[in-house]
Amino acid sequence: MGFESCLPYGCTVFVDKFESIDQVGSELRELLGKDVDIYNTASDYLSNEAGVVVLMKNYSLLIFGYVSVIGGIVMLLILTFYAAQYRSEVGIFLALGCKKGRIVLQYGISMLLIIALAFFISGIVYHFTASTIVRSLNDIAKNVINYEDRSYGPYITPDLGQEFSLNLDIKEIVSVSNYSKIFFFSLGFLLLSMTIPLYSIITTKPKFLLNKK
Amino acid sequence: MLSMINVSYSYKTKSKVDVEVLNKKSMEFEQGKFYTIYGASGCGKTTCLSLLGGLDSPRDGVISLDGVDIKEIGYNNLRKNHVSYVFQDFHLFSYMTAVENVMLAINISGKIKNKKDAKEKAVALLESLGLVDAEMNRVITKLSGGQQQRVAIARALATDANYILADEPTGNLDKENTQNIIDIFKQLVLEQNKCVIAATHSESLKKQCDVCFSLEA
Repeated sequence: MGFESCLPYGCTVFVDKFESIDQVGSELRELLGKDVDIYNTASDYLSNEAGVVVLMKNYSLLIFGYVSVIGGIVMLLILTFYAAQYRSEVGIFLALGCKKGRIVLQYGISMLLIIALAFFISGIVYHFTASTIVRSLNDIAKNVINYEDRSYGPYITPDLGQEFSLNLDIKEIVSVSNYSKIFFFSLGFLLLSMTIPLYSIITTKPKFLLNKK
Repeated sequence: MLSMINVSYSYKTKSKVDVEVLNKKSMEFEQGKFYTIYGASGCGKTTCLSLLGGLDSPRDGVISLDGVDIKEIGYNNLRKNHVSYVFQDFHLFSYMTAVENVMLAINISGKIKNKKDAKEKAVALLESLGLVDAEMNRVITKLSGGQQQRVAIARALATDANYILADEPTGNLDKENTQNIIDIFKQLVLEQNKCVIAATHSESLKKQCDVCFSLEA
């Protein structure tokens, strides 16, 4: 247990163990009498800290989810436009005697290459930026806690925040399981973006495919 | 012999109205002859070629090759081995060179597996149609209309198909190139015993063919 004098009216009491706070509070009351106000900010502090951390984590996951969905939609549009361009080519391939199965396979492989490339690029971006982003979140969370720390009671307690450490680990946000979810989510989008235009192409007679410009 | 027996074809417009294009038409095409299907726009010339080549199927009637319904032969097999196309808009791959376009057809036919041999055949075909080295290795977009038409014909010949269906083969060409293309078709018929079927509204093509089928709208 330690004491820190904080001008002009009170002092900060630091306790080693969280479980001892209530006992220390009671003993201080006995020691200092009724004329002293004793504030226990630890419980509120921890609740606020936990609340802030959970909120930040949830928001991060939400943003992450939004980015993934928007990215998936963009990919869907790009692949759909690509398929639209491919219609006339499919007509030519069919007119030359190419089998539909081969065309579907060729188209599928080209789509998979695009998505693999997109995944690879996003993986590189993640590798170099995710740690920075998480570090920023970490710093922001600490600033929030310190701000809360200063707002309690009439006392200025700048050092209270030092007792509480906050560490956001990147594994909280991006893990192998989350990455796998993103991959399969993207794969689902790919299959959807392939199926819709491909169904139209495969069921249309070659004559009408060739008429499309 | 490629035959069209009592073939009818119609399509639905956007307002769901049935438009009849062909009504119980019958035609026969033999190897060693140059045919034209002549008529004004909208009379069904392109439709005839589409049906003969298996790009579409008739509402009624039968298309047969040597007495066998092409449905039994298989549309894919028909287009790969027996029938080849020369389109009005050429339908070449614009990002490929002339040689690559012809090699693609050879590759799809599966008749020549070796890439070197395929390239040799492609070059020989293009040379026989009057293209020189520099033109053969140019991307399609850098070729003139007449040159592109020759590339399209070379691609049609690449599969060794006996029946060549040409849709308005001279439609986009000037007078000189038109005659060049007609001469090429005649040569194919005489020297290689091919059957060339050209859909056209060109009088000059009609006059120079062996047999002309006329369609009315």
